[in-house]
Amino acid sequence: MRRSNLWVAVLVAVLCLPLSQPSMAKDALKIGVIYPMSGPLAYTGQECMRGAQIARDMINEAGGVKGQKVEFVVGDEVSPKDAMAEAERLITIEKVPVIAGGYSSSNAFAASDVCEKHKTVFWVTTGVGDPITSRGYKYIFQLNTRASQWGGTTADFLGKVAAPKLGIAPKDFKLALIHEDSLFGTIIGDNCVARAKELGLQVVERITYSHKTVDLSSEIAKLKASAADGIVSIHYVNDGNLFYGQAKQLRLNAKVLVGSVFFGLDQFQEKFGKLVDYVCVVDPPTRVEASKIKEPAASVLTEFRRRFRDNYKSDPGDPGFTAFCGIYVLLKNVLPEAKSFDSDSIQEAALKLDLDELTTPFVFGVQFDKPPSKTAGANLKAFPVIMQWQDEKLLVVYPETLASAPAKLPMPTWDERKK
Amino acid sequence: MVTQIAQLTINGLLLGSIYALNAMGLTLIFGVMEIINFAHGEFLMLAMYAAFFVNIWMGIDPYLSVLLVAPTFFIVGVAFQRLLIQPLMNAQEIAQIFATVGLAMVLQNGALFLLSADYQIVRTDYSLESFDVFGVYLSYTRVFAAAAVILVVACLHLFMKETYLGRAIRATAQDRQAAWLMGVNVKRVYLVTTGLGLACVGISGSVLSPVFAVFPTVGNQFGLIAFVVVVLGGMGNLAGAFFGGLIIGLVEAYSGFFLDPALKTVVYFVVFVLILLVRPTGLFGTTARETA
Amino acid sequence: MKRFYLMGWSGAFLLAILASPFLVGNPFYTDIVVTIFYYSALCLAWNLVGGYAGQFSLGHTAFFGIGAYTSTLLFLNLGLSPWFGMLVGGFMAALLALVVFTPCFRLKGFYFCLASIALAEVLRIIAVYWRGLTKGGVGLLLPVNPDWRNFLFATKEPYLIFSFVLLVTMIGITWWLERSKLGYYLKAIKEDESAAKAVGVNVVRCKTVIMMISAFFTAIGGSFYAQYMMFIDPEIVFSMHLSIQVALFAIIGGVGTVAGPVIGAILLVPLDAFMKGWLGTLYAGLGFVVYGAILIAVVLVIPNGVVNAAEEWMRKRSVQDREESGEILEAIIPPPAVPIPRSGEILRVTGVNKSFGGLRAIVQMDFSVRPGEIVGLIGPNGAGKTTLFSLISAFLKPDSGSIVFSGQDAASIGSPHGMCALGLARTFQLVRPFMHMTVLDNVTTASLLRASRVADAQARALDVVKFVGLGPMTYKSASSLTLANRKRLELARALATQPSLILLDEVMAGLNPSEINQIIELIRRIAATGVTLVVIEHVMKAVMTLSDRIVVINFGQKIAEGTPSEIVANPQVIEAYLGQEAAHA
Repeated sequence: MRRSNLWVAVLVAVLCLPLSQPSMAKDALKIGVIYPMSGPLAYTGQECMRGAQIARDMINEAGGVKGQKVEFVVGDEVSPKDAMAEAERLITIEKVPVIAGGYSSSNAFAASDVCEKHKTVFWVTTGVGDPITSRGYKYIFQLNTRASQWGGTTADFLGKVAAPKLGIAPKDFKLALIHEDSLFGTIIGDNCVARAKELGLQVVERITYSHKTVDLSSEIAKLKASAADGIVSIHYVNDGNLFYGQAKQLRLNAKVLVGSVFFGLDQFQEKFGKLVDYVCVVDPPTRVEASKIKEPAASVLTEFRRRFRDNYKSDPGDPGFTAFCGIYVLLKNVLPEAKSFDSDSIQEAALKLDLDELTTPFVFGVQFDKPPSKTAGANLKAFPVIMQWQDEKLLVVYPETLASAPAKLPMPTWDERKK
Repeated sequence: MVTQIAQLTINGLLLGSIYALNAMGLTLIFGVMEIINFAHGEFLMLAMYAAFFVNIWMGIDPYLSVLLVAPTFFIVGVAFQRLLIQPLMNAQEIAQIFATVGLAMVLQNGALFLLSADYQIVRTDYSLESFDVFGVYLSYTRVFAAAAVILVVACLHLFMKETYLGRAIRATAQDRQAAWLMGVNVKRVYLVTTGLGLACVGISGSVLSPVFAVFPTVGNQFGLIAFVVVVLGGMGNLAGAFFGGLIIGLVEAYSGFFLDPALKTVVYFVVFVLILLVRPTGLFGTTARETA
Repeated sequence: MKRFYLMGWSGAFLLAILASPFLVGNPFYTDIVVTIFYYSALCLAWNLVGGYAGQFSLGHTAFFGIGAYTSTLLFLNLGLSPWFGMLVGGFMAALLALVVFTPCFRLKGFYFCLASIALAEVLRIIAVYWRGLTKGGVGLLLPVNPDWRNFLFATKEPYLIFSFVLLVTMIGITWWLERSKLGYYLKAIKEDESAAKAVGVNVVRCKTVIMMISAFFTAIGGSFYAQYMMFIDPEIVFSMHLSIQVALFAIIGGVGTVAGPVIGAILLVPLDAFMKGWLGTLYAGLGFVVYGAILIAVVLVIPNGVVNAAEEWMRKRSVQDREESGEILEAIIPPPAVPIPRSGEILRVTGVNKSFGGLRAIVQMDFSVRPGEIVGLIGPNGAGKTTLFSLISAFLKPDSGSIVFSGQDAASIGSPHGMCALGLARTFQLVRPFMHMTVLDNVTTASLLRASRVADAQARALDVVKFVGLGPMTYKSASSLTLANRKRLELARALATQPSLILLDEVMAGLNPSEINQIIELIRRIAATGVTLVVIEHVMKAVMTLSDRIVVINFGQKIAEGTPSEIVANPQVIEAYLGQEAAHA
């Protein structure tokens, strides 16, 4: 009996904790914000949150939205089920008129259903899955480039830039693809393969794995056996880390390697140092030089990067970047234009948006496809870029118009790089 | 082709020895007390975190941190036995199963709460290095892990055979009534066994911390594999756990390559269930105990 | 009366919960109530196997997922209404249970647990991998097209009603089960599988049936979930988390009861929502730490759950003393079910051999038993007497030789429950009552072999209980009986199966002289009804007085056979018991 009393005491103590929550300011505009705060994607979720907070702070410092300060009500998208429950809670209990965020495509996809049912605007800053805006829903807006584009752009880069640079004809170019098996990886994979075939490239291998795996040696063995010229690896953070580490241990070589997410983070360079050179990554345009875009967006972008580096001692990758830009555009360009702070007005204002390329911190423009289109809510002006690590710095290499430097290929083998 | 097969075999053996190391502690505890510890994977997770923090805070190489982590986990094991296992020895089956399930939940989520979900991995100078033998690549960290397994198995084997305590443990495992009647302090045997079992987990955690990233749910995967290995090798059979681990590692490596990497877990789960149905005492298990 | 009172209040309580969302009008609250209802249904379904059959599955999510995917795929690809789709899903799940899970019933406790986890995981991985069918990790989305024919509604209320109906159905099924023949059998299996087999319970078939029912309804729950949430993916519907939660709620609420799983869900679903809402974002993981702690506490202190603990507590406060009269002589036991041959042999053992590894337990055993005889079977400890009984009753298979009972070859029957159905009963050396059941229920379980309706079986059981002299103890729990009475209970169970032959294994062991006399009397009365008896005994007085004939075995071989006086004088027998010198004394 003693033991159960102890647990009861713990339970009671724990239940008292919420009473110590800080209370919200009276006049603030509350918007819901959902990112993965716990679980395997927590690292990226945390970066998203940081980017979002900087955007909010910058707007609030400049006077807020129509004079009112903006505050976040946070939800945790650990899994699709939780994302749905959190969206439900934010809408029905916290009564926010708009929910921003959504890092994981699967989670955002699930939550979007809830938002549409409740006619609440879901402002997806980061999630790239196409299904998020493929149902003709009216209240879902997807800011970031969609996964299908990532796949297509990667194939384009390989076929139009990499292959010629390597002196290999497209029909002789062997492409191997490995991707995680959730919505994110699968869609990018599908589109990459489709586009590659259009360009005449040979897809010699396609491997899937769970992003929670602890070992990729079998997968890497298969990739080695495929003797591919180019390898595309669509992963998140931890599996990306695992992949690259084991690729090194098992000497997986390729003439060109394009990755995702992890390969675009500063963390990658911190962990692998010089070994990151020559690695490419497909991402939203996170590292485009500010000089290549117009004012005032250029200053906003510079300020964001400065604050992020000062506070967190690293440069923002896709999570932080898209979260910042997404929230910034919402608070700067949409909410002030809405007739009132309710979902329908916000939705109207969003549909009216027409921002040109190079005029937003995103670098790409913002204009949403309109209902009754099946892809209503998708950002028609979004596009991804290919970046490459050169001298431990991440530079845009494709498309050429935004490139800071040409791509350096081929990637040396592991043995060559040891020297 | 030969190189490929060789590489797969090496991969499988190295991975398998890691699985074997994880299973050692589990099979030891089960052999003596016949209680399945569903929280085994979580203890491994804690051991890996322990090694990680020892490395971060004290700068100690993980292979040296074994000297700190293993004894600590021995003590944890003794406490675990006294507080949770002992009351379960005569409890209903439902209690025996779900008490440790509950413990697994507490440990896993406690780690999530206290330590956050970030993946942590110990970085040493050699953690990304590998050397090659005739075109087959072996990573240093995994080779060290395999060496650790062999060392642990050898030590345990000697301990069991040569020392009084070892023999007492084996006697208790075979027939606790008889051992008790022979003057063996059965309660102490239980404490030592659990302590030893968790010390093995501690060693495993330290040795694995440079190989795999640690995060609160890493116990799920490893725990399940440990069960598969233990059942395969025969509950309570140390040598069985060793060979069982190697077999599972090889099955995973080969099926990953020749079938499809996405299906490797399916293959060994199916193998697991088949073994349970066809030969429940495991491939190397001793004959089942006589029932009253 | 008290029962109906309780049921009435429970029903009202549930209806109040059903009505509350209409009053509160908050969709989030409605969602919680819907979750309570369908989770209760899932827990009740799990409870059928876990609480009643004693097989703890942590893989029920396999059925949930099959239900969800089957109905959804049929709807999206073939346009089949989920109303039918969910039935198909249910059948698919039952089929899965039959083909894959049933062989696993041979596995004990945690082995079954592990196997169930493995099987569910395999299904999850297949769902992710088979992209062509399931779209893999991308998941399946149902169109937002409310249409009652397709089980899609714009508001939550219809889902609320359906989940409530599902719950009521599960409550009904559980309630019916408790009072049915299958229910008795399952309880017996959970108590003591071997003893259950000995009274004619086909353990494998019972477990299979209940598993299929459990799988069917869990799958329906899965289909419901798909229609309610309108989005499924392998992570969600094949989630180990779900398996654990369903078991956890049922255990905390109380396994093996109707109310337990429902109470568990009512207590814990809101707690879950609360913790996620208030604590989830601020204190990630803490919610489940609390869960786990509650589970450990409950399992250590009140392992049978809240409801059972409450019932125990209430029972202790109101001692029930329903007495039944103790007339012994008036009671008649039902006759043997299978006709006994008038002459010839009822049991013939020919050339039977049995070895365990290097140990030869039974060697070239030959003997026979005529109808109506009382045959004593004696021999030193370890001679193989109990082994012989186990062979005859088909608990063990002979390596060679044949055993023919009542004209049938035991090898072709092949199972203890089959032999029991044929008219062969046995008792155990160490008594095996169904501890948590009353005396009447113990015997009813046995008499259900011959009577399909529970009421008939109970009536016959009552007669048998009086016959063996346990009248005053009819409604007491078996665990409260003295050893002598437990032996009577053992006999009563054997008698209730209406046997033509009973194998009695050391019935007198552990009894004092006056108890021995009473049992001897009882055995005489049993024999007087025409039942044949083979009696293993060490108490010589009993053997000598009761037996018509005695068979002596030593080291697995028959060394002598004859009347009591012949055996007593037989030098080989004396040598076997007392050694060589005594034989020549």
